[in-house]
Amino acid sequence: MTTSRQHLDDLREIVAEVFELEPDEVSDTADFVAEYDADSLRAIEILARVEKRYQVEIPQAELASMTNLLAVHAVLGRYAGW
Amino acid sequence: MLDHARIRALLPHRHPMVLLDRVESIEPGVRLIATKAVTVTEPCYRDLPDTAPASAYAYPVSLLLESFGQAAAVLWLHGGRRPDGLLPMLAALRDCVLEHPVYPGDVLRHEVLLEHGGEGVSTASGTTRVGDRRVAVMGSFLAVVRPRTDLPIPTTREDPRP
Amino acid sequence: MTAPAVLAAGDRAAPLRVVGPVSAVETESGWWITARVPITADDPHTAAHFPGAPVFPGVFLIEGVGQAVAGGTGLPTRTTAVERARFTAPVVPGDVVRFDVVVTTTGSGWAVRADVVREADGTPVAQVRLRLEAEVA
Repeated sequence: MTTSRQHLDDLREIVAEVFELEPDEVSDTADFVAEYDADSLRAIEILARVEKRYQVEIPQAELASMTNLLAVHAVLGRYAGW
Repeated sequence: MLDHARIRALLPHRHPMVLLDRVESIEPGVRLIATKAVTVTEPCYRDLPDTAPASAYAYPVSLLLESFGQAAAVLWLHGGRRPDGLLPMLAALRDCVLEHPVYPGDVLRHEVLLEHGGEGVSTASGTTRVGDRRVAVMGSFLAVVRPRTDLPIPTTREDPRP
Repeated sequence: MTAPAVLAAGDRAAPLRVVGPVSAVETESGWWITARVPITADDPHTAAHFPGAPVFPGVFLIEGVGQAVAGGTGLPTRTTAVERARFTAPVVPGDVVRFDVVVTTTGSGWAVRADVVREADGTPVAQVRLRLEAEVA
């Protein structure tokens, strides 16, 4: 897990792009719905970018659990085999 | 090359909403070139009055975007990505620049790059040309597949015109 | 509202009349336009998208925003960019959707931001951002 910090920052950039924010405005645990007014399409946009960046397939069933940055990181880790 | 029969097999859209004529070339999962001829017999020109100026014949941007989206869907779904009961749907567009209007007689040539083709979600980008002239740059098309059974039930019945 | 001597919304090619009557208010920076649109089953495009599972095509919500702007401002405009369009819930025949459109005059044309919601429950169905330029009729 030595590169975990780097992955987290890459993901922060992806999430920030989708929400049209600056990366430093995206905290590790801020709830996407409560803090950034996310709808389900935002989660799909994040999923598409994450899949592309990391060349992984993440089932749509995981969308429900991708509620904050750390949760996205955890889901990705499971499918990327970290 | 994919003829129109093959396009129909890949897309769930039907007339008058099939907005692709032919796929000229396809590199599966990577890129595709597809064409669509704009003709004055299309329903969008039906109700134009005789007094309409030339600019009124510009092909609707909505149909141009849909046509490109269908080309992207063919690239994504080619090779068996669409199990029965799943419908591809456009979910988001970003940074699409319509550089020049398109008129009847023009043949749209979509050059599509599949940025990402996952099981449930894809992104594509590309350009549309008429002859040598670029008429549109498509920044990003995000599409998803949705199960038919997930869709809300219409509260008015279908009443397709003949 | 007076009818300006420019292209009316009905006088240009369109797959269908998405937006009928609009209410428009001229503001300091542009216009604020609203339109209430019943989605019907008699449009052949919607019936064909898809047979047995009709969904109002998302691109027609973009078309609707353009028509609302044409109807509300009377300006002869051409859509030159779709900066963003997000379709967040399916629209089906029987739904009534409301377009809330803000048009801002910019140096070279107009910037348009539109929110489309399903009236029955307020569900957002689309957010659209367009750039328009003047069209010579």
